[in-house]
Amino acid sequence: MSDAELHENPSQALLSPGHTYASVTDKISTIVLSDGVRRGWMFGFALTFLLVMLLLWAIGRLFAVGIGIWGVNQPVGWGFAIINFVWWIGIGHAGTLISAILLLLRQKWRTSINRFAEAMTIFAVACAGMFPLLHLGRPDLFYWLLPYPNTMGTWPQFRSPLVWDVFAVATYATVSLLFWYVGMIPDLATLRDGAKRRFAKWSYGILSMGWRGSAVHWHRYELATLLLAGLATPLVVSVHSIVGLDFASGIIPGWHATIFPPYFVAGAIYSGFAMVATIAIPLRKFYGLEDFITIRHLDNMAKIMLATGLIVVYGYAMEMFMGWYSGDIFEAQVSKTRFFGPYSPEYLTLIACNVFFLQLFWFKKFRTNVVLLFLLCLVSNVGMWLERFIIVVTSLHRDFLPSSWGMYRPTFWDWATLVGSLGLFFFLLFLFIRFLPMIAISEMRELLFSKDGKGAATPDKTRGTEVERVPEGKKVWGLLAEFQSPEELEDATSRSYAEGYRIQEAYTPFPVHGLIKALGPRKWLLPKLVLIGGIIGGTLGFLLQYWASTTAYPINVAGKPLNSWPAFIPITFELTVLGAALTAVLGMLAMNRLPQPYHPLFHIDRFRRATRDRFFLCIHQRDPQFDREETARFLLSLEPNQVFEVHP
Amino acid sequence: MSQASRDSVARLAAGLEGKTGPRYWRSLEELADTPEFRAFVADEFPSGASEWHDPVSRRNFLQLMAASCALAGLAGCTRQPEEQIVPYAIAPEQVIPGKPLFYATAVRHSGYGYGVLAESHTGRPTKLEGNELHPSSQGSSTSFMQAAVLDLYDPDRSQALFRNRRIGTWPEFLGEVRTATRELEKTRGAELRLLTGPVTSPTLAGQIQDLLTKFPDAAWYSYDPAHSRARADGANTVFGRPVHTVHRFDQADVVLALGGDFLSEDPASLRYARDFAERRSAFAGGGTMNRLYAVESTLSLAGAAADHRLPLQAAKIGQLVWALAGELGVHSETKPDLGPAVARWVAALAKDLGGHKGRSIVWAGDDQPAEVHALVHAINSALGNLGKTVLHTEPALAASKGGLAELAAEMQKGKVGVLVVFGVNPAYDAPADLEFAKAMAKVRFRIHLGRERDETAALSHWHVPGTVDLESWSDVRGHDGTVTILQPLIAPLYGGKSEHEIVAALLGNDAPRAHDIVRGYWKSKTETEDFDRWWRRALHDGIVAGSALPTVEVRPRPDFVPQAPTAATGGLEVTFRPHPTVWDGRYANNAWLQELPVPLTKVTWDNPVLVSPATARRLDLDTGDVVELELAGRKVLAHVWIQPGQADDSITVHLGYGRTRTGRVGRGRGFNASAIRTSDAMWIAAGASVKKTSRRVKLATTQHHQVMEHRDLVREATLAEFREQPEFAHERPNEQSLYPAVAKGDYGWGMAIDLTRCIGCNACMTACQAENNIPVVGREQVLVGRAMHWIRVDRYFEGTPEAPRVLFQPIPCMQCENAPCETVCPVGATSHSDEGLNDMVYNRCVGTRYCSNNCPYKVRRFNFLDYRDPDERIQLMRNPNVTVRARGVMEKCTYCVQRISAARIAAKKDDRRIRDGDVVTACQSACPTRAIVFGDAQDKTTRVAKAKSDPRDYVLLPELNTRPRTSYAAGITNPNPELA
Repeated sequence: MSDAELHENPSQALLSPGHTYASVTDKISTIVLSDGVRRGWMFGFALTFLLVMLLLWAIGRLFAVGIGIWGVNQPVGWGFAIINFVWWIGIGHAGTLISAILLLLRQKWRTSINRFAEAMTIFAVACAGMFPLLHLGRPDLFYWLLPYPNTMGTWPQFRSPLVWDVFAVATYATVSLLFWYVGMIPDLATLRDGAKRRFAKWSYGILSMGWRGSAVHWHRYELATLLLAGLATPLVVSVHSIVGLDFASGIIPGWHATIFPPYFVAGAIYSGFAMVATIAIPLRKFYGLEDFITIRHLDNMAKIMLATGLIVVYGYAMEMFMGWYSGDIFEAQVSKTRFFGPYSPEYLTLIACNVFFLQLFWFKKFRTNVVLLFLLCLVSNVGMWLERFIIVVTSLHRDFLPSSWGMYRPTFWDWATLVGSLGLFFFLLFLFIRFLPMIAISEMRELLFSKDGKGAATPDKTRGTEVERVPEGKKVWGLLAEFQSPEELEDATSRSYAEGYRIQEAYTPFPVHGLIKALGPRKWLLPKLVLIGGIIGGTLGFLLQYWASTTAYPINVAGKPLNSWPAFIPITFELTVLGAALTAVLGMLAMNRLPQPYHPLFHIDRFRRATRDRFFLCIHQRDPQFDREETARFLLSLEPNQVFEVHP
Repeated sequence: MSQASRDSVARLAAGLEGKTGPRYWRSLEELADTPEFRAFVADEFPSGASEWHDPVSRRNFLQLMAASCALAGLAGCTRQPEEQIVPYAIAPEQVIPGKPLFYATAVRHSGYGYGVLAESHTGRPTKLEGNELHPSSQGSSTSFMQAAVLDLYDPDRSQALFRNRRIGTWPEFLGEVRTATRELEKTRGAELRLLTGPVTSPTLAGQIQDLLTKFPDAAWYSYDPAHSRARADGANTVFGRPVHTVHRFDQADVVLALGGDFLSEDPASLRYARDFAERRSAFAGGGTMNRLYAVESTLSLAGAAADHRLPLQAAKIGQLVWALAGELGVHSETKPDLGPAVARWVAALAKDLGGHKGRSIVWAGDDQPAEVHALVHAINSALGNLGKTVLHTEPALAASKGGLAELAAEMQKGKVGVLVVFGVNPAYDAPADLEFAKAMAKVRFRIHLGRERDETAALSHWHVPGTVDLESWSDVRGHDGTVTILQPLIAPLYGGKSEHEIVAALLGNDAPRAHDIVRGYWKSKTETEDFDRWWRRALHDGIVAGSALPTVEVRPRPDFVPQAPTAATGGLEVTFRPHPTVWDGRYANNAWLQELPVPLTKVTWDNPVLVSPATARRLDLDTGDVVELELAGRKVLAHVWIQPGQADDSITVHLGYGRTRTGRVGRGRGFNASAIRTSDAMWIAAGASVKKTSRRVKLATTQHHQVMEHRDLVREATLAEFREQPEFAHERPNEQSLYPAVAKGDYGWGMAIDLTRCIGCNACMTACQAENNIPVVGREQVLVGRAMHWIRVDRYFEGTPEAPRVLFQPIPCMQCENAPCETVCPVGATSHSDEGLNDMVYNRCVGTRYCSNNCPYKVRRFNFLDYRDPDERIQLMRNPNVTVRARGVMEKCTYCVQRISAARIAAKKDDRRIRDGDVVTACQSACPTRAIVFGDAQDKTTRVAKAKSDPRDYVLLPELNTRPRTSYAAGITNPNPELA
């Protein structure tokens, strides 16, 4: 869709017209930087805080009395905890999908929703990660699932999908956190530079690690983000596949099915987008962000829900089909029980939510009507929770020997933990909205630049003719020229390079790709490092499992070979991703020499606009051609807004 | 607290003057050793709450506490009082810590003894095994026997003498008894009455005889709420003399069981079960198989095992017997009209019985009246069974003057001045029409000896805590009269007194010891030169050789004329039966038995009334409905259980519940059936009515689903089918695998369970519970599905709900070679030993419960809460070789790995392999029918290997390729082709 078309049809726009770099920046950062809180926020915050207290109460009681306060029993050994775990982790998947897969696919519409989708991922994974711990009979010993040398000489049992879970969830949480944080660094710098209060300045300063928007930094940053996105894409598929394997590895009828991994991934994306929309719709209304999160966003999300939802429906159909086609009486029993057994109300509700209501997404009316869409997303959330309930409970409550059939009935504490986890999720979300930029500002500026660069820059009335000198007695570290548009900066940089200046640096509020060429040729090490990091991670992961299982702690597990290499693949994969992701982020930071809280450029007050709407070129005093007067003259000849002398 | 103990405190204070710190403690301990103080401590938590409202006793308590606090202060503000731990200076002979000792003794149940070997760990009895030499147990045991250990340690047992509601002392008691007996001597004991349970103890019978000699006008009454004397009365009618009947089920080809349950309710049941199973399994060796017919109103174990079972109102059984007697030529009168189907059934039965003269048994239960028993004796006589399959001996029970009704009548008339009660609890279980409590109030001086401060104790002037088996000397007869001398393994835990000591006290014998009484009795009765040797031999073997009662030859009196039973039939009847696990209420406080599922309903902790599906439909009842059950104007609130196989219009009510004065475990559960029981209709009562109320209760059952859903879990065939195709159940699993073979250890343990033998009695469950320190979880936890038994006995119904076939299947851990639980454990807490065990490492378990989810047999059990009993007294009972599991830990059957280890150590010491039979699992040892065989399945010469090579051998769910080490031999039935 071309820009012209977008202008003709505002409902298809990704960003309402008329915005500038400055207006985008200010609109979003005001939400965070303004003093005081809005009444609605306070109310929501208080409510979710109470729910967090409920959660703590439930957890306290759980630890004091034991897992028996829940409804789990024989034969239903897993209940709400695992249901909630799978549900939450599924929800998290949309965040990664939006930020990683849509980034790789160059879907620009993701820009305005990816930040809080990523935040949602983090918080959902936090909620999810809590449950496997809570559901342990002895939660204080959770660390026994981790491989670490100990005096007892014991190691985890790497054939268990629960150990795969540990690695998958831990990797997923780490990579998501890195992705989210790295993505936020430029915006944190914007907040640092826009903040009035000392504490805010200080806090955002620490968090932004001294980000200055250097063109070289931007380039490595973009490389790292792209690599992370590339890594996160298979990761997000693997995580829910492994969660699906928790069930598929079991021999219980209703679990033991190869369809589980893809079906789980599709379900995760489906539920995740439902949650993103559930949050985005009230948020855009409340904070007046309709300009950024437009109807087109909602429409696109609904389309993805329809696509993934249909895969889920296929999964349901396949389960039923296999129940009949396999001729296995146990599978057939499960299918029959779901329809006619004691949990048929739950199952039929699930079918209504995920099969029948889903079909409404075919209609544009439902996709673009905000209220209807919101309601449908709620229905999808409930449906996906029920799906996990059905998978966990109905499969367990009637398995092979009818003598051990039983019923699972959740208790007050089960509900308190579920509601409490919802409270925790929204509590974190409220904090996030208030203290961090919920929309990626730099990416919005970039979007503006790529769309309509000319009008986005706010012109200064005056052009500078004088150099602002350093105070008496201070040395000169370099010379800094301010420009008002990326085009001017790019032009200036090219000319400066032609003039023979080599030790120079350009600073922009968003990545400007032409600058890298203008600054001269360079080698980029990062992709190779990431490859090496991944190989090291994966190799160590496999060797760890191999050594632990065959040499350090060889035990006979169900007659399987000691080197059960197929079972070692999931962890090997996860550690490959983890190694690569850590290398990407740490490598990017190290080569960018971040964190760097002090930098001479920060002496220049105007430089604060390098993270808002201004573009700077700096020539270092270390450059062999540098001459205080000559270079200043040269810079003034480039027609900048202003030129500054910078002291160290 | 009495004046005496107040004085003690004062005495203490005086005695303490001028002494240094540690000395005070010794003084306090000395004080604590006085009977008054012991009595006081025992009453620290009085069950009568009124104690707390008594200002005197509370103040005294505080005084004493203050005194001890002050003393602690004197000893130093911060230091703990000095305590010395002294090892054995001279170790008791044979006591090696960690090595158990076994003593032969017996456990009593309904007056009869069952020989056991009691395991003792450094002086603490922990587990009972049947005594192979004992004719009643033959090495097996019942749940009651297994649970005797818990009864011993029961913290709720009576722990002090009470005079009314105050603590008393033994000397005080003896003083009062002496005063009373002096009075009685003047009237030749005319006002003295003794009430006991059934007595087979020669010593006690002798003592009672001595008492009746000393007080010639006194009288002794005995009764048993769970057993009738109908069989003996019937025999008396037919043979004209009192005899005791013993059946030889191992000799019987055709058996007819009428009511009752010869496999679980008879004093000889344990032996009968063995004999029956041995005869039944003879087909495996190429022999024939017996055939069992059962006619009963409610499903029993015998009914479940029967080849042909006919549900019939209990009152109509007499008519059926009359018809059968007619068919067999016992009488020639007109036969009652039983309907064509039943008539055909009876005709086939009569033909079958008639074809096996001298090799059949007709057996009637205690619930059947004496007239039916008389007919049964006559039929057995006509079939030529007497002396062959039905033996008669001199009576095993000592004859008392009468039963409860006679005593109550005397008390009502005010003829009783001194009443001594022990071994029974009439205030709880007396039929309602006797108004026993009211009658008892008319007795001037009432003495009660009992294990509990129960309902009767509450009505007595004196309550003396009784001893239980394993802590007192006594003797008892088995079902055939064989005597076992009970030897204690431990001094009375709570200072109890035995019945011998009470009777001795009445005899005026000061400070006698039960040991001396029992030994004295036998010394006077045996004619042997070396009595010490005789005594040691008797104690060692657990039986007195040659003490079985001599058989007597009987034949029907010439003037015996068979009489048609007269019981009224029609309408709604109620039958009273002892509860399968808590019996007549004596085990109400035994948590193992409370939580043991009733074999045929799988209900725990409760006594619902059993109603047939058709009757329930007619009366619009559902399981759990609370109903008002009315019988002869007396009403009781009960809850309903719809039981397949129950006879229509026949409600079965179990005794033993509704206890108001017992410990914390049994108090206030279920309802008391005695409230509607009358002395003229103790077993079968006609004319009941049921009124549904709006209330419902949940019943804690361990099995919710009753049918197999067309799965081939319990495989069964008739004998004819088996002969045709012996491998009907056997499947050859595909042994091929892509995995390399796992190295095998020296042994490969395996278990084989014969479903033809299993009668579903649940003895294995209690034995496992005792051996493996399995916790009791309580009714609420059973309700939510968290019972902990490591072995369970699944029970399925097949066929119609009116007359279902009942299938039992014991399910321990299958110890799968390819165990699904092991693969999914994230910490390797469950893994495979090279000897084939699916080991469970409790300490390593973090409690994900994944293993349990993935277990297709659902044999794993999880500690959802902290189920350990914190009571130190219960901890004494624990098997020291088995870890007590903490909260949040998975547990399961280990094939009694501790016993395998013990056998391994023994074998290593002798430098040999473990022999077949060295390792006997707890369930195997208890099993009355020897249905469970365990051993090294790798060695083809062992019994288990042979059992596994039986053509009937199969494993559960072979299609899952779990390769279980526990396998089953398919069940074989032997139906009569004429009734097919």
